[in-house]
Amino acid sequence: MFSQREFIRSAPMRLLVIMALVALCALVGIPGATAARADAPSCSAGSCEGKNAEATGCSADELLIEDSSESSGGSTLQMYYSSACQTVWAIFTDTVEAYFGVAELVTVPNGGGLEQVDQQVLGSADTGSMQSNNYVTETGMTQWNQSVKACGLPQNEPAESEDPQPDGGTAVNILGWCTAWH
Amino acid sequence: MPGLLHPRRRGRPRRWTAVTTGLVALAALLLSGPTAQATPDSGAVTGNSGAFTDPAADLGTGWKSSTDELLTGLGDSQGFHILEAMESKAFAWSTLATLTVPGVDAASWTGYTCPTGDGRYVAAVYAPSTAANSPAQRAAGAFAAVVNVATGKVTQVASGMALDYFTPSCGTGDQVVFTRNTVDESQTQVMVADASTGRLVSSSLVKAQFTTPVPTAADVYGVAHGDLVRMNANGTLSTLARPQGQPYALAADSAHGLQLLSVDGSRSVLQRWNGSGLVALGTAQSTNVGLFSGLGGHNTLVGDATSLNVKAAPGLRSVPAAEQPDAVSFQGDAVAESITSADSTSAPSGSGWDQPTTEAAVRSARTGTVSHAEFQASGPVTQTFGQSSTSGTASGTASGTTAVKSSSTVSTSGTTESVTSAAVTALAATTCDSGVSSGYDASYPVALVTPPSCDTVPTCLVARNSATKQVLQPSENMVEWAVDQAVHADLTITRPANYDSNGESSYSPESMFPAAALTGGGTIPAQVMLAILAQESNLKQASWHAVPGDAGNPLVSDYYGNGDSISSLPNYTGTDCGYGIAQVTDGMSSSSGSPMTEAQASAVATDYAANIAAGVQILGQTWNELQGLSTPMTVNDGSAQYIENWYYAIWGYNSGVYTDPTQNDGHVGLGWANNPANPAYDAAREPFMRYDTGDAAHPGDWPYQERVLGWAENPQVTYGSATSYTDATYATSECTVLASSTDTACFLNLPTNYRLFCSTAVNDCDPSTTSGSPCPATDSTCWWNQPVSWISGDESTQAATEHLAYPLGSAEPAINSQYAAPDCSFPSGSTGTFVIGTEEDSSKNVFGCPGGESSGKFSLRLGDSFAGKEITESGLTLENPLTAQIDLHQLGAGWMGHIYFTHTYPLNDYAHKVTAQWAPDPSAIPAAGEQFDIHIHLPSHGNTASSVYYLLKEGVSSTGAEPSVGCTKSQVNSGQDEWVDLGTAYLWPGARLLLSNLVSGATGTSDIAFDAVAFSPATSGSWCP
Repeated sequence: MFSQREFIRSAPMRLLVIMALVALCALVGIPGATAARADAPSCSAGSCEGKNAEATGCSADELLIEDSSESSGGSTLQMYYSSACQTVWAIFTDTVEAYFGVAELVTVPNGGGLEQVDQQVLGSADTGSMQSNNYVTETGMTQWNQSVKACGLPQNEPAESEDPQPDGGTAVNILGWCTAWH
Repeated sequence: MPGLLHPRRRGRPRRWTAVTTGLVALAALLLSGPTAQATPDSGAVTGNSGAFTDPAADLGTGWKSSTDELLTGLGDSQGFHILEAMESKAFAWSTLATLTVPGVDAASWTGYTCPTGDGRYVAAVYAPSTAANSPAQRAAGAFAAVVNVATGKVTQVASGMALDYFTPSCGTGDQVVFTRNTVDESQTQVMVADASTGRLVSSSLVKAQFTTPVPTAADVYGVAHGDLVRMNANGTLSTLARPQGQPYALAADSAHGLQLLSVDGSRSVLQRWNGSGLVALGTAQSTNVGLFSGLGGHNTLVGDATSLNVKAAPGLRSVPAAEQPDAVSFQGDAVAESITSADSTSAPSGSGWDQPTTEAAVRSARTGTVSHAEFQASGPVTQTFGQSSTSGTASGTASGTTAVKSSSTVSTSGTTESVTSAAVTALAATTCDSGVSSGYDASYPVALVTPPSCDTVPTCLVARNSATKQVLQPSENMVEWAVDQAVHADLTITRPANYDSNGESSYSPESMFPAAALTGGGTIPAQVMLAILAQESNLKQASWHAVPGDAGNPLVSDYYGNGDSISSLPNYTGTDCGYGIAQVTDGMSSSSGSPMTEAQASAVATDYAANIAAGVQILGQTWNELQGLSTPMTVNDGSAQYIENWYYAIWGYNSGVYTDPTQNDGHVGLGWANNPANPAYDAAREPFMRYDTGDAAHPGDWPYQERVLGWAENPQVTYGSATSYTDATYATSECTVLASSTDTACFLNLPTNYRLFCSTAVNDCDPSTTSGSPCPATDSTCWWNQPVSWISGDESTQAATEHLAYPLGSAEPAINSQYAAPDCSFPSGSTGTFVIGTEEDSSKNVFGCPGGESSGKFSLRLGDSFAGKEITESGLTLENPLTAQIDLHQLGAGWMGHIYFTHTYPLNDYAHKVTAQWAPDPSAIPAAGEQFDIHIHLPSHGNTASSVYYLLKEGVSSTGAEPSVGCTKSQVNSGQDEWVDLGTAYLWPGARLLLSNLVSGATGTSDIAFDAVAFSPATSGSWCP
């Protein structure tokens, strides 16, 4: 996205560029470029499973409910919640250059039991994005009405269901880490 | 109590009303608070420890320096207590240890003990009381341990033991012998332990039913095929002699011989094995003769010894007694005439919240003075067999040497045992190959594992801990009403749709489970069905944690398939799935041939009336099966109206009727497991509960139908001494007026000949008791298929019929709730107050509480490694969730009538870890944060933990920090529903309150409740006031 500090000195040209930008952004549907839409979100709870929060409109009322940093490298995991959709999702910012990173949502039913990796999103040039030399990977949504945590792993791990911190955070030799359970 | 004795009372029959009076006094005592008559210095007991008040006179002047003592065991709702009374303390009772198995969800415990010949140890075999109802549990469902008398230290020996009156059995030294049977009783694993180490030193498989074993320094002796035998190391038997009569007691004496008691006809015979032959030492006038082992083989004969040549038995002393006692001291100075627990004679009142009281009467052998004790037996609680073992072959299975070895690896010493026996054939084992092994290398990330469905998919049709399957615990009046209606096909009450929030359609119990029309006409006498319910479930439809008026989980037998043990993962291939008050089993498992429909299964699990209708249907079908055999198996005149004539149908209700003549070599009828001639039962026993209410503490001494008929004759008593159901209607000839009172004692007309179901032509079983040989094979050749009659002539003057307490067609009576109705109100608080209850929809309860909108979620997390692997790191094993669920219970109490509870466990006991989380809807908290007052709701019961730790995670603050604060609180309250202030804290979105049941110093015995939490916007306040 263009930095907002770039501008064109000529006013008419500025207007033209801005109109072109708006048209371009509308074409590619980049979130945030268009005016905030007031429509209701397109899913709710279970029907949001796996869907993108921005695309469904669930992120309109997003609340940050966890902001977790990995101790050594500064990578972060953020969990967001939407009241309108009753869902959560996570954004994994991986500061290790050239790692595309894997973002996970791990869930346990409300009555207890075995966990499952609800989603595992492999970062790549297509699904992730570079922001200030960090790879950002976002998961789809899962419903809030269960125990849920988010995890981030390096991508060179095998792509099977994995939990880098199955024990609640006291493990050593971690390749990856998780938020606490919500 | 010592494995040799059996509780019997002879002489003047004593009706239960006398005991009831005692219980009334007991109840008054307990309800009035600390006893005003407590004897000082009662040691480990609270109450009157029973010390003789004038020991010099009552016990003799040498009492203070005497080394004599009473050592015995008594099971109740708290566990299996090892009780001790030392003469040097004037026979004041104390509790050496209370044995429990954590996570085994038992309403009450039963067991047997024997003191070693050197007096230094007590060996114990113990099991949930319900084990006596299940042939599989009787065969291999008990636990074994040894207790050091001087220190009280408990060493667990092995699990998977048999529950029989003659095990454990002690010799003259430190050897103790235990047995374990195959379910069909055709083989016996005979194990000898060294009491000083608690380790098994030998284990041999005997290919026969091996009873009354006795260890000596070199050998094991016992009885098989009616012969006195010596067992060789490889399990083969050497026949020594054929005793006169059926043996019931065997002991080593002080001169390297054996003393043996047997029943011949209606008399006891004393014999002695002198190394080369059996010497007869006389025949008593009755069967009131018992043998109690003493120090070094100096044993005590108790009872009627007038015709017995006691002097010719080395080391044998004789103590006269009108009735058989429950225990005798080592050196014979004292006789414990009766030891009873107030909750073994009655239905346990629920979860042990009411502490049972033990009554004991001890008689001085020297003077005959009796000292009475009333105390609460609570020793240092020792949890045995509680460590997690994931091999799956540990407790609950009957695999011979494999189980023996694994048991030793969980002993505290951790060393391997040395089994000196040669390779033996392991008994059949059922294991679920979970593929999950302990000690998994902790390399991260951990790949999630999916344990096989035999570990994770329940097979019992109705789940536990489900909000739509909350079961109202009926009170006893409702149960009697329902039985009275059901046996007359009149249980036509209609349950409305969504009855008790079950989400089901409307139904009528009678339409769903119509009573079977009986072949030959007539109906089931109500007291027969009531007695079956008493034996099956103590009249509980819901889990015994729920008292009448509560709701709780369905009562299910062995829901997890692992013998209700926490020592192995669930094994859903081995479930029993007996549901509710009648323990309806057929069709209640997904693996049964014709499973019940969803509506039927729900009704059986949740509605006591439907469950009773189903039980009545099954009993009627059993009667019809017996009548439908090619030779109908009728009892006496065959009329259904007489209680005594239901002898066979009750037998078949428990262990089945074999009807198919194309199977089992053509053998049909009733099996050996409940045949009264089976030497697993004491041949000299008295009718269950007739003379001693303490019988209820060791039901394993009697076959099933004798226990049920005992409950019909002696109605079960609820806490507070009211009987749970009314007496039968007796024929005049069944009643006698007691000599010195106006009380009338009425007894059922029961067979007194335990060999009645023996015929050499029918089941290879010798009916003559002069030869001690019951059915040698124990297989289908022992099955009995003949009609029987022990009442001749006009039965109407000799047998009992039903008595209905409720008119047919009467309405369901109102429930007698033990506790006041739970709190159904929304708490008053500041504007914006919201409550998070334990259910998504808190209107789902059995009390009609309206529920309330919940602005948040309640979640439970079980265990510590939800990835399914058991990970060991830093010496700790992080447990998967599959075992913690076993000790988690829903209960109809607390806010809007629903809570969960479990027990508090030690800090690293992850196998039992339960974490509760109350998470407000993040949007209910402003993004900039807000102060909230937090109140936790405590129920009127289900909460006894004195120190639990609430952790509040406050959410993501504006600086990005995620602060948290904790608060230690006691959950103990005054027995009323109440809101308790946890304090005021600043919350941001993402805030949540956590509570874990792992508490430093916990022992698995205190209840921790998970109830509602209220959040109220506040302007000031402090945290954790």
